[in-house]
Amino acid sequence: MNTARLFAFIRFEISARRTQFLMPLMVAGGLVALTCLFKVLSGGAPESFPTFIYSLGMLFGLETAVSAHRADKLPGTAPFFLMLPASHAERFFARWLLSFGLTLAGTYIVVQTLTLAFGLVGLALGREVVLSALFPSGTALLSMFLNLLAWHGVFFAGGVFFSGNAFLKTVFSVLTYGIALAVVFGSVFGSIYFGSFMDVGRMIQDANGSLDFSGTVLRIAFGVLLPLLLYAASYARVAESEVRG
Amino acid sequence: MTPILEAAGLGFRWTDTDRDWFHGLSLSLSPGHLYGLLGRNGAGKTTLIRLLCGLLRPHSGAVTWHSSTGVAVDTKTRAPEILADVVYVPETADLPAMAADAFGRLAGALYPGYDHARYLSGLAAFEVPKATLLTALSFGQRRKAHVAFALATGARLVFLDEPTNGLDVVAQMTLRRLLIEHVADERAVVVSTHHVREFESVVEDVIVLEHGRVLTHQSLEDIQKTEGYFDLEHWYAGVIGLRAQKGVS
Repeated sequence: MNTARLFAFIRFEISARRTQFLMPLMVAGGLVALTCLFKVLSGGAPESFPTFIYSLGMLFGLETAVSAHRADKLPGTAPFFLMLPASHAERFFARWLLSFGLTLAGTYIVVQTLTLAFGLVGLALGREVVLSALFPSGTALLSMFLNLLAWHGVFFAGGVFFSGNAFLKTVFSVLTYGIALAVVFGSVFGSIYFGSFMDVGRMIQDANGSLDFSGTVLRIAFGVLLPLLLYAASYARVAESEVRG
Repeated sequence: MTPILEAAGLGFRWTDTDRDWFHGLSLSLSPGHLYGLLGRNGAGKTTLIRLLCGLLRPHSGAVTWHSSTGVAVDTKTRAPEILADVVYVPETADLPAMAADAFGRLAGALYPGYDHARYLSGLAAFEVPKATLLTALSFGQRRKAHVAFALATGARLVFLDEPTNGLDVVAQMTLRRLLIEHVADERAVVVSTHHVREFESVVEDVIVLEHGRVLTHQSLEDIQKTEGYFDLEHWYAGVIGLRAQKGVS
């Protein structure tokens, strides 16, 4: 991978798709501002809200991957982007970096700036507002990072594999595969640990911390293995679809 | 002279058809030539260009790119070095929503041989405003910007698919002048067109495509010498017509 070319490609992509990236950030910023305003006015201490960040991760992941242009369709700017001199790895990594890194960096800046601003407003109004908790830190941050990685991986793959109505198809696939996997894992782990099949509810309880070992296994599977496998599959698919007839 | 691109035994079929689009097609494109790629509607000109560029993968045979240093690479690898040396301007393609000047600087950074001054000079020759968003330009203006960019990338081979579509007469003259200058610099240009007369004065080699086969590939000089034709369009119509009379089409 040529670093100079990678960054030149990223600079070009950011400039060419700035609206695509700015719009979700502005929407998220608006939602954060509304939440902060509500908390300042009501005087409550808010919890962190990674949902916004997950949503952004999914949106960016999906959008970026959908625009992983396909040579057999060649719509819009696709021929131009496909003919830009960059390797498959550089194109893929640039898209990943933009949709994942930009999500984290962008939301961090937006959330921190807004919480600081509203915190100061709250102080000026004499209200006890704890807005610094909006962006998680420590273990919560790691957990958020892994969750975001997993959901980004899922929607990134959805964007690559489904050419039309990618969002809906991805959601349906997640539901279908989620239920199927829960049944399979429930059967296997249930029979090993609890001596009974299909104890999915027990498994979920287990993953929530009552038994550390299988909870950690599930978290690693969800936060690390799943996205890695999905990214690998997406990369193979993009490399193939970019040149197929 | 070592060709820039060489296609050997090329076969291709679209996934949704059972017909072989190309079968055993061979062709080589060398620096210093301005090729005219002619053929009737559906002859496969655009498909052939996409195959040669590596945008489509042949089902048989191979397209080999030869670097200026003698390295030969299959274009299906779509290596950045190939993409920097072979540029394609499609008949219809949108360009990103950025100013023409910024577009050149940002996209040009990916091409090792890119010359921004040459791009700006191309824009000026075509009278394309450099500060206007490409998406705000007319179809013809966008095509001119795209052609100016392609000629400034430093690529040794440029494919232009119907480049005069949407261009006024003055712009067509400018395009012909720029192409002659470009080819004189040991580069090659392939112009796919139905407007044979517009390129008669500049084209040096003619490739006629018919139903996935190269019907003929000759230099204009040879055609004029051996067949006595001085009107490219008449000669082309004759070649196509002769084929039709033989019942091949």
